[in-house]
Amino acid sequence: MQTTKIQTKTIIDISDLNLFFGEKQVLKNIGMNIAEKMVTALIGPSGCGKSTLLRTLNRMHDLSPDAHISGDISIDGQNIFHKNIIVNNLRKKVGMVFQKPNPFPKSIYDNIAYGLQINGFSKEKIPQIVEESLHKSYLFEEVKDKLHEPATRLSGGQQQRLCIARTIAVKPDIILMDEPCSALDPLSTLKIEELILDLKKDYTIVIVTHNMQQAVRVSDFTAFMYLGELVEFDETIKIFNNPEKQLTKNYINGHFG
Amino acid sequence: MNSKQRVRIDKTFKYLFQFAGFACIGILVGIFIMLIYNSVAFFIQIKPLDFVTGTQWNPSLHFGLLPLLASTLLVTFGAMIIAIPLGICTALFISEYATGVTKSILKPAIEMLSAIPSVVIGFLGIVVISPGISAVFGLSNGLNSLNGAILLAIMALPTIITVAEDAIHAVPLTIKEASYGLGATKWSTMKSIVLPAAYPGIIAAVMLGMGRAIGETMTVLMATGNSLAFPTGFFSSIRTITATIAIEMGEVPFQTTHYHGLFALALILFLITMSINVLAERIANRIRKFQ
Ligand SMILES: Nc1ncnc2c1ncn2[C@@H]1O[C@H](COP(=O)(O)OP(=O)(O)O)[C@@H](O)[C@H]1O
Ligand SMILES: [Mg+2]
Repeated sequence: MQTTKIQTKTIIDISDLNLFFGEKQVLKNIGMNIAEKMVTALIGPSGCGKSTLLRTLNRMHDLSPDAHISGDISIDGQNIFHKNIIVNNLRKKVGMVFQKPNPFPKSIYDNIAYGLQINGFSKEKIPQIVEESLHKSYLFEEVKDKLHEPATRLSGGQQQRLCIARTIAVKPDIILMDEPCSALDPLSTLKIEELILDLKKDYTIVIVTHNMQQAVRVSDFTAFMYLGELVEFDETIKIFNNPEKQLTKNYINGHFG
Repeated sequence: MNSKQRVRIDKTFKYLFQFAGFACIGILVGIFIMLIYNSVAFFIQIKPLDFVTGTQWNPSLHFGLLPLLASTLLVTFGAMIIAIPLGICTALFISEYATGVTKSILKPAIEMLSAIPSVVIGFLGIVVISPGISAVFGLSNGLNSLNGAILLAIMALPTIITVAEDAIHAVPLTIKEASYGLGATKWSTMKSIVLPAAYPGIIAAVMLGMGRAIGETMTVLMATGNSLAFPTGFFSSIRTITATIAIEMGEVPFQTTHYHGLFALALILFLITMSINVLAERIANRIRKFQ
C-alpha cells in the first residue's frame, strides 16, 4: 500500500497498534503511515473504531482507566507512549476538534485565549493570535463585534469554527477531527470543508467522517476500517475508484454501513 | 357507581387538592402578616432607627439590634470561612479525584453527617471543642464565637459538599476533554473550566450552607456562651438573633414591647436570608449567561 503517486513525508507512524477496553478489543493490529501536510480520512461503519484510533494519537485514552494499548505510535520519530513524553505537550502539538461543537462556557475571545494562556504564550501576543486564528477559521467577520459575548450564543457551525480556531491558535502540527460536521447543516459543512482544504497547507489533518462524499472532497488519503481492523489504506482516488478489497468496494457502494 | 357519583368524587378530590395547595400559601402569607403586624406594633413604641443602631439588648430598657446582629454575622462569617474552602475542596476531590473505595465511603459518610441532630452537635461543642479551644488558646471559657463557628461549619458542610459536588459532576465531559485536548493540565482544567462552569451550583451550595448557619438555633444557643455584651472577636461569647428569640420567647409577657421586639428580630432574620437568596440568584444568573 505504499505505492502512492503523491510524494509525501511520514509524520505519524503507527505500527502493531492494539487497543482493549477492558476485555473488548477495539483496535486490531493497526499499522499505517500518515503523511505530513495532507488530509487523511478515516471511514468505516459506526462502531468500527475510528474515534478510538483518532483518540490514541493525542493520548486521550489516558483519561479512561479501562483502556489498554499495545504497539507503537511515533510522531516526528518520537514514540508518544514513551515515559519521557509530557502528554500536555503532545496534546498541544496534536490538536483535536470534536464531533459536537464544545466551546467553553466563556466568551468567544476567552475560548481562544485560554489555550494560549495555559501553553505559556506571552500576554502581549495573545490578542493578536486570537484575531489571526479567527481569520484563519473564517470566523472573524462574523464575530468581530461580539468577541466578549458568550460563545454559546453562536450557531452550531460558528461554534465548530471557533473550536477549530482555538485548536489552531496554540500552533499544533497535527489536527485531529472527529466527524466535525456531523452536527451541522449542509451550508456550515461546506464552510468547514473549505476551511480544511485551506488548513492543510500548514497542518497535517486526520479526519473521521461518516460521509463518503466528504472524504472524497477533502482528503488525499483514505483509510477504511472495519470491526477494529484497517482494511485498506491508500490514496483517496484509488480507494473510491478502484479499491483492492471487495469489502472496501461493498462499503463504498453503500452495501452496508 | 353511576356517573353522578363519579362526578361528585372527582369534584371532591379536586377541592381537596385545591385546599392543600391554598393551605400552603395561606400559611406562608399568615406567617408574613404575623411578622409584619407584630413588628409594626414594636416600631410604634421604639423608633426603627434606635432599634437598628442600638448597641445594647437589654429588654427591660434597651432594644438594640447591633450586638445580636454582630453575633449572628460573626459566627456565620467564621463558619463560612471554614466551610466554603473545605466544602468545595471536598466536592472537587469526590467528583474529580476519588475513585472506588474512597468515593464509596466518603459520600455516605458526608450524608450521615447531615443526619446528626443539632442538639448533638451542640453537645459535642460543649464537651469536646470548647474545652479544646480553651486549652489551645489558653482561655478560661471556650464557649465562644469560634466554637459556634466550628460547629456551624460542621453543620453547613454536608449541604455545601453535596450541592457543590452535583454542580461539579454536571460539568459536561466534552468541555473537559476540549481543555485536555489543548494541552491543559488537570489543575488548569479544574481551575479555569470546571469550577467556572460549576459556579452557579457552587454559589447555590454556599448560599444554602449559609442559610443553614444563619438560621441554626439550638447549636449556637448551647455552644456560644449566650453573652449579651457586644462581641469583639472570635473569642467573645456571643448571643445570636436566633438564640435570643429562642431564649426569651418562652418567658416574655404577652403583647409587651419586648414581645413585639422579638418579632422584629425575626423579621430582620427573614430579611437577611432573603437578601442572601436574591444576591446569590443574581450572581448565578450573571454567570449562567455564558452557558
Ligand atoms: N470508553 C469506552 N469504553 C468501552 N468501550 C468503548 C469506549 N469507547 C468506545 N468503545 C467501544 O469501542 C468501539 C469503537 O467505538 P468508536 O471508536 O467510537 O467507533 P466509531 O467512532 O468508529 O463509530 C465501539 O464498540 C464502542 O462501543
Ligand atoms: Mg466515532
